[in-house]
Amino acid sequence: MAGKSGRTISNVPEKSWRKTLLSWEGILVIVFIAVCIFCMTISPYFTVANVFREMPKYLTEIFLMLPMAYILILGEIDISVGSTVCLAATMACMASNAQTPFVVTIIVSLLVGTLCGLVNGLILTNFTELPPMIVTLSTQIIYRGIAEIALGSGGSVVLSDTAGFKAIGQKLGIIPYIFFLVVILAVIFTVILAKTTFGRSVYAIGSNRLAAYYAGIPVQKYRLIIYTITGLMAGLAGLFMVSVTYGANTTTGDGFEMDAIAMAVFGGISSTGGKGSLIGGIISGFVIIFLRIGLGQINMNSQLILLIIGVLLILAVMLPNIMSRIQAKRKTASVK
Amino acid sequence: MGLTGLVGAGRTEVMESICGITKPDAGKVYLEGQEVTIHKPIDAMKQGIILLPENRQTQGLILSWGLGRNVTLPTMGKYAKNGFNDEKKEREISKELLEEVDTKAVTIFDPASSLSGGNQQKVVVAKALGQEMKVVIMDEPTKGVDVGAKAEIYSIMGDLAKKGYGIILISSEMPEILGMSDRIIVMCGGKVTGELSREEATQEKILELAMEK
Repeated sequence: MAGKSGRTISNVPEKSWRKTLLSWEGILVIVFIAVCIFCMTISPYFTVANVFREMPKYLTEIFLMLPMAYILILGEIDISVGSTVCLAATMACMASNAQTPFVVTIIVSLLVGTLCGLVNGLILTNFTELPPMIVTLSTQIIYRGIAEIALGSGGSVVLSDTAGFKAIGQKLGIIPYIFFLVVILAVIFTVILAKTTFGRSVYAIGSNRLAAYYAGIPVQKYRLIIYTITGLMAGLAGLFMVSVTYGANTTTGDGFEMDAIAMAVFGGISSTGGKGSLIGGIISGFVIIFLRIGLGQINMNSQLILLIIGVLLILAVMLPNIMSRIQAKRKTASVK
Repeated sequence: MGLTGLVGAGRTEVMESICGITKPDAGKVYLEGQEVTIHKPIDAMKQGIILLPENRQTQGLILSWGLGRNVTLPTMGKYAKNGFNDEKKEREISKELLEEVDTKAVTIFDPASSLSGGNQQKVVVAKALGQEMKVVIMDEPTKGVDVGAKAEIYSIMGDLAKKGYGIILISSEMPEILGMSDRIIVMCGGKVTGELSREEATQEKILELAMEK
């Protein structure tokens, strides 16, 4: 039915390959290829087999990046995930050392993570006026504190029986199991965010929380779900960290939350909420991982690697602003 | 029905608690003679009580989003299959609704922030039209809207009333209240101070009821 004035409104989506290529994801793909070539030229060890061998340690951060993207799109932040990884890894080691079956160890790790996330979520949804940054900063300290108490004076725990963790650290050919898990989870998280009602609601909450609430979206319920899932993923990350290090100590998972946030932000996900896609986050995650592996192989100082990644990150955040400034200048110039 | 009173009389608060936005201190909601329990906005929507919020920019629309997505925001779950959004159907329906309210827009992908106040309000109306409704609560629908769009919103309200939907219009503008409502309820200081029929209502009577004694 057309309106009284007979005006029609187009509903045909505009599609062009140029737009796709010039989107942030398109640029990231090019950056990714460039990083691969760069690493191959600087390091003779940068082969497919070697990269897969070194990858598991870094892939745990992708576990954290996936739900972190949801939280950032909500316009919030969770900085407690690194501590959750530490606590989950510690508890998993202790469960394993208590001679429990490996299944119990897995359950302990995931349960500890989920509980940590649930606590965050319950605090944030019942006291909605509290800023997530401060709440998760507090729980970050608390979770690491509990882990340190559990670890005792030595500050570390070593696995006495590594069989179970060795099994999940196995490879299929040259590809480690964890890589398949990351791929599966990445697809699930991406599809849910991009294609479902839940995903759209997350964007709505991040773009305008009040309007989303007025439109009948259960804002607090969705926030609780997301924070809890974040905890679960941190538990999973903790489990796989142990499969790499065969133990846990007070520095396990240190700084993981910031790495996860960095991957997401570098992938074009706005920390003010409502913008970005997980595809970008996943590509940028691998850009950062490859860069770390490549630079690590030529024995570059690890602090220097951090510095490089930091500079890249700030450039990535500044780039859209610079671009829009140039465009605005051009516009005013053409008007004159 | 018109609900009026001076600003701060508690009109919006009453309507928001009916719609489950804020928790009421006391009271029950009756719809078609039956008591309904509403705790959340979604409960009100399921009962067919639709609220057009007072502040379209912060409560009614997501300004950075396209018009189409804004229109189908409350209803996307209805079209979705197993939780997956049916984008094609959403595009068709939002196009229809936006044309029905005669929005000045080129495509349904235009951001809501690109429209004027009156046209934004029409998008909010289109958003409501997509839902199954019995009662529409319009909170100051013509505030900050140009004359042309005002007339169009009035005509949409007339159409809705003819179709048998109940409309509650909250407004501070006397001519609007007097011209549009069959029944006028006046509030003051959080309490209902009087009810007037269309015939007996005059500006003076309403003002008298709206003023604190």
